[in-house]
Amino acid sequence: MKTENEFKDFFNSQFQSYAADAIKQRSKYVRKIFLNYFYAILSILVLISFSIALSIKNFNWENLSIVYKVLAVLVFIAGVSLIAIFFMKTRKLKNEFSNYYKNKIVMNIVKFIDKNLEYNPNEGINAQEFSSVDLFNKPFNRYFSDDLIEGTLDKTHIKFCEIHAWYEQENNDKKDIDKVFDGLLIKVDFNKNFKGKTYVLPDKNDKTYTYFFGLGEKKNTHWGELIKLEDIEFEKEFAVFADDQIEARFILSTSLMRRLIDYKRKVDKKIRLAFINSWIYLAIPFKERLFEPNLFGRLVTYDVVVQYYHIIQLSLSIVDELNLNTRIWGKE
Amino acid sequence: MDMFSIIIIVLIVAVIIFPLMIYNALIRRKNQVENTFASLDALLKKRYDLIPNLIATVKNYMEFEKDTLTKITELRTKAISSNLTTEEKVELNNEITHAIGKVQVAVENYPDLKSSQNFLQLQASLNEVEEQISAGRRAYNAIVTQYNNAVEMFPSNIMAKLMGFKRRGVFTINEQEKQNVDVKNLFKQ
Repeated sequence: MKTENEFKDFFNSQFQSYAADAIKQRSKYVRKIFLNYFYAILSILVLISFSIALSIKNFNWENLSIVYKVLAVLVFIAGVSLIAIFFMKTRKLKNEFSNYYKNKIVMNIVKFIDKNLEYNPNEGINAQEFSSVDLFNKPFNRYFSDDLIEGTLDKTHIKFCEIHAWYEQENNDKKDIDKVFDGLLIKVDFNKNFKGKTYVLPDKNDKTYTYFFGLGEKKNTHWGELIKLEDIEFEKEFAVFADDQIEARFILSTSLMRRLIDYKRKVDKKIRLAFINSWIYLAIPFKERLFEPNLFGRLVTYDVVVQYYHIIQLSLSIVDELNLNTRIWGKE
Repeated sequence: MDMFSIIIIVLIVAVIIFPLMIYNALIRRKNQVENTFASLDALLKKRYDLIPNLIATVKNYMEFEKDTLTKITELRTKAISSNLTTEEKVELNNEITHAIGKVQVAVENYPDLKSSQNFLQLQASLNEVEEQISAGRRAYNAIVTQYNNAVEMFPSNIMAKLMGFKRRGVFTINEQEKQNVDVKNLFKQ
């Protein structure tokens, strides 16, 4: 793993040539995008003038000959089409620059951190897998995932990507959006074999007891039975659900509980974990889009790119933080 | 119906329903304890199955630890053949854990054995099953603590007494295991 000081050195040396190229490329794209905006605005102005002309009081549409009527309709269609084309072209240009930026800037940062890591800006974890992990117990009908980073750190395979999932529905001509998850999903190979499902969720999900003179019965929840663990600090931070309580304790050994508390404090966000089929899925929420270029603001300054470094290091550090390269429990 | 009759009916219902609920809760707790111990027992059996492999793998190398190996075999035979109480099983398994630990420490003295593929695989399986047993013990302790709370806390303690339910012991790490492993002493034995 590279330290932040090493990253700073990399930024001040080798990275500067990538940064200069990226700034040049951005100017090129911004010029093209502005030109498109200009044409789009021009088309809108033509259409507005056209509409004003048609709505002049003395003007009578019925008196126009068929040729003028056809011409008017054609001008209108052409205007609307041009606006659509300009906006589509702008979108395409933005995507092109985003691809360039990710393949040049983000890729080099990833390779600097660990040259064995693979980065695929246009790939992610598919919706079926995200849905089957079931970390959120909320339906979604819109989903996208990109910026997949994947590799093997010593004995542990890890991949992580950005995910956005939400539920969208039309309600009286209004779009209702119910967000399910925005952030990073990390999938890591766990160092023990297990078959069931164990969930470690923020503690607010812990309200599942029905008390009756201390004889309270644990309700079965969507994620399985609520498991009360011995570590009081861990219990304050998380609620654990599982379909097999011995397996849950096999996974969440006393040392792993401590390590998870430390990791949660380091991340300082409401993390969720699922242990499924000998894999760990870890969801870290982020409000903003990750690894996206800023067309009109700071692009490759240190404060921007060091964020990428922190996000990647945070994701990779789970392997060491949870001691996943210790393979003494029968799993290679 | 006047107020007095309603109060009487509510009281009668409470007098019947309330003890019934406590009774059911206590039974549920007792069954949970038995269920969890059965799961733990299955894990202990998994370890008994590994012991013959361990003996077969290490006996040719470890001439000086023959006594320990014989003891493990005896403990295993006792554990799988006898009709033991829960407490006896716990005690016996503590001894097995200790004896296997001794073998694993002694292996450090035999580099050939330590690096043999057979032993490495066996050690991984043993570590896995030990970790599972440890998880099983923690689960058992959590369930027994809930059961013990129900048996000792008011008002369920009254019903528990009538039903003859008694406090159960939890797994504790014995003194031998608590102490740090003293390698020198292990080899002197």
